[in-house]
Formats: sequence, structure tokens, C-alpha cells
Amino acid sequence: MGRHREAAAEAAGGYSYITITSDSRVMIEGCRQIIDCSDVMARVLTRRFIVEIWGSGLHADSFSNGSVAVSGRITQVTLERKRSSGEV
Amino acid sequence: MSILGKVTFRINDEYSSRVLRFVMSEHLQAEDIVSKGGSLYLTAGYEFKRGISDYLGSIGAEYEIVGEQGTVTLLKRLLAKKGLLLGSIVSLIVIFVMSDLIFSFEVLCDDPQLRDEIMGVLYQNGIYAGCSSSGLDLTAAERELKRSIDGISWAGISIQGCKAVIDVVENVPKPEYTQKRLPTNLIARENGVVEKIDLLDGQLMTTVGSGVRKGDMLISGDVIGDLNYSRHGFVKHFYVHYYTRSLGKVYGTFERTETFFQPYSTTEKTLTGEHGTKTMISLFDVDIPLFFPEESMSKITPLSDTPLTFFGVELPIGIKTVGLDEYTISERPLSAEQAERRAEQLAETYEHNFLGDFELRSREQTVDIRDDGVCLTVKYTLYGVISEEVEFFISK
Repeated sequence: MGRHREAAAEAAGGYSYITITSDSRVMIEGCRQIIDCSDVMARVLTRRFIVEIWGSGLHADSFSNGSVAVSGRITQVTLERKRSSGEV
Repeated sequence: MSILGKVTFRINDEYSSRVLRFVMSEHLQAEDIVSKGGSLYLTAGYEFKRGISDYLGSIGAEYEIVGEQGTVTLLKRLLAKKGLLLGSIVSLIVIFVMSDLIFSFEVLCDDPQLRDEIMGVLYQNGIYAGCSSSGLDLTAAERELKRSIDGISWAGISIQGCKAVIDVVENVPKPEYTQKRLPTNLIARENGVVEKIDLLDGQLMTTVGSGVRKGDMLISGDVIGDLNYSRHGFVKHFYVHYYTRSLGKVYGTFERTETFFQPYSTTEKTLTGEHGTKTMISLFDVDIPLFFPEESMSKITPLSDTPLTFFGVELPIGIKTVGLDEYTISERPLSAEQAERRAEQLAETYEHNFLGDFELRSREQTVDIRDDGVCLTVKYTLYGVISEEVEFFISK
């Protein structure tokens, strides 16, 4: 099942979609892993980026379609390109 | 999240990265994922509880289930309270069973006597308070109501929940139909002497002062009249023959003899003076006795009926108390004088019931004292209507 989703994401260009709703929620579609999720900072790994979300009272919800929603009071969202991919 | 409910895990933070990787790789639906206080908190659907627990066990993670909510949890709590569960099951069974019973009746009729008759017929057909409504043949009961009770022309029974509604149409009283199509005679119904005649129609066949025997014709409906007709100095005489209904009353004096016998013993129901009470639980129209009364205490007089009330609303449940007077049935011997007195009471009752329409001219009685009882013979001389109307057919 997971392989099929990966193939579909590859066919769509391998992009991840990040939706920021005001300062209360960040929705990341095409997510590979939740690296960390504490009260103040959450890190989520996508195909090409590590998305770092800062704020307060944060918590994450994962969905069966490989999406992750981080909710709380968002103050900063940072994208860090993965070093191993070698792409810019 | 899930119709079954959800489970919240608290996992040692040391294993958080592996657990989060497991969640994403297995595409588990989880919420409220947060690390705080050295622990990772994760809430997942109840259906994932076993899978997550197995995984945590396989990696040797220290974890704890810190919260459960939803339908499954509610059912578990309910199952833990066996009394509540048992009570619910018993209540459901009682409701199911009792919903099939008839507890009350509503007879759509104003006449209390007719209502009692209807309830009696229904009881004979197996329809009473407390009976099951499923096996009843309502059509047969309706037919029996119409057949047995003269006061109704139509009956319909319907079951509305635990109540039987009996709708009846009472007979509309018809005006008395007096006109007869057949011609009639007036005949004597007693042996007597005619004293007075009121003739309205018909031909008189007797005269005042004549003696008549029972069955003699007094006024005939077969009339032969004559008619004189005069014209141009000639007189013609016609006979007219016609049939009519005889109207009138013939009064006369007649005698009647009756015999009244009283044996030297009588059966009496005597009150002993002892009183008792019978308490019943009233549930709708059903009175459930709390004890079975003795045979000798069956004279019932209502004492009190105290239904329970709830904020002023009268409930169909209450306590009913009735009073009982004890009596004995005994065979009492009578003397000759007592037997004669009782025979005279029988004669008085007869006179009151059957001779009220006549004028009593004279009364002679003879008493015969026998071995088995007293025989009172009374000879009445009466005055009144001795005629009676009978129909006759015209022979062709």
C-alpha cells in the first residue's frame, strides 16, 4: 500500500504540499516521518525537506494518507533541504 | 476518530523516534502526538491498540495506557457493573413481555349497565385485564358482543398498546309500531262477567252482564253492516262486509285461585358480625389480591381506593381496600306458624307483582297444614280488563 502511494507521489513530481492555516495549523502532505514533536518544536521529514515548526503548545496528528498536521500556536516554519538528496 | 473509541499511550521518550517512524510507515491514524516531560504521548483509534502494544512490546519500550474513551470503554464499564446490567436486561424483558398484555379497557359507552354487560361478555371470550393480546380473536369477540347484548347494534374492538378500546353503537329506540295490517278480534282471557265495554271499532259480540268463558269472542273484526239507500221513493238495503282491527276494552269481574306452599325449613344466609378487610394492588384495571379470602367472607363493600400520585398526577398504581362481612349459610327449621307466615309473604309478593293492574274485590284464603309444609290457597275476585287482542286470517 505504502509503495503505491510512493509511486503516486513520484508520478506527481515528488512534491510535498504544505498548507499553513493562520498561526494555528500547518498541514504537510507527502510526509515520510515525524522526527520530533515537542511543545515548542516539531520536525517533519518529507521527500526533499525537513520541515521545522516552532511555536508553543504544539502537537501533531498523523493521517493514514501520509499527511501530518501540526497544531498549536505557530511562530515559525523553516524548510531545510535534505543533504543526502543532493538537489537544490 | 473511531466509532469504537480511542486510546492514549505514554511512551518513554527514548523510543519516540522509533515509534513515530512506525506510525508513519504503517500509516496509522494518530492524534495529539507530543513529547513532554520525558515521554511521548500518542492517541490512536481503539482498533490500533493491539498493533501498537505489540510493536512497543517487540522493541522493549516502556509504555503505559493513560487514557481510554469511547464506546468500548463505556461497554467495559457497564459490564463491570453487573447489577446495573442485570437490571437493564430484566427491565427490557419485563417491558417486552408486559407490552403484550392488556391492562386497561376503555368502553366508549355512557351506560354503566351496558358497560358491565360488555365487560362480562369479553371476560367469557378470554379478554380480561392481564391477558395476552397476541392470541385474541377480536372478530369472534365482536360478533359475540353483537349477538349477546341486545342494547348494541355494532361493536368494534381495537388494541392500542396495553389498552383495549371497545367502540359500540347503541340501539336507537324505535317508535312503537301500533298499526297492524291484519284484522284482529278481542277475546276473553278469563272466565268472568262483563261489566263495562269501551268499543272503538269492530262488532260487539256480547253484552254487559253476560258471562263469558276464557277464549270467547267479545269483539269481532269480521264486521257485517247494513246501509239503507233511498231514491225516488224506493229504499234500497245494502249489506256491507268488511274486516277491521278490533279496538276497545272489555272490563269484567273474574276469579283467580293460587296456591302457595312453604316447607317446614328454610335456607338462610346469616351475618355473623365478624368483619375483615381485603387489600389489593391496583394496576390499571387489574386488582391483584394480596391474600385469598375465605369462602364464607365474600360480601364485599368498597372501603378505600388510594392511587399513588406524582406531582399531583394520579398514577395507575395504587392500593385498594375492601371490607368483608362474614356470613353463614344454614338450614333453619320452621314451626307451622312461621311457615304459614312465610306462605302469606309469598302470596303478598305474588299480589304485588301480578295483580297490580286489577282491582281486588275480595280475597278468601284457606290454610292446609300438611306433614311436609303449609299450603295456602287464596281465591281472588278481581275486576279489570278481561279482553285480549288476537289476529285472524281471512279465508279465501
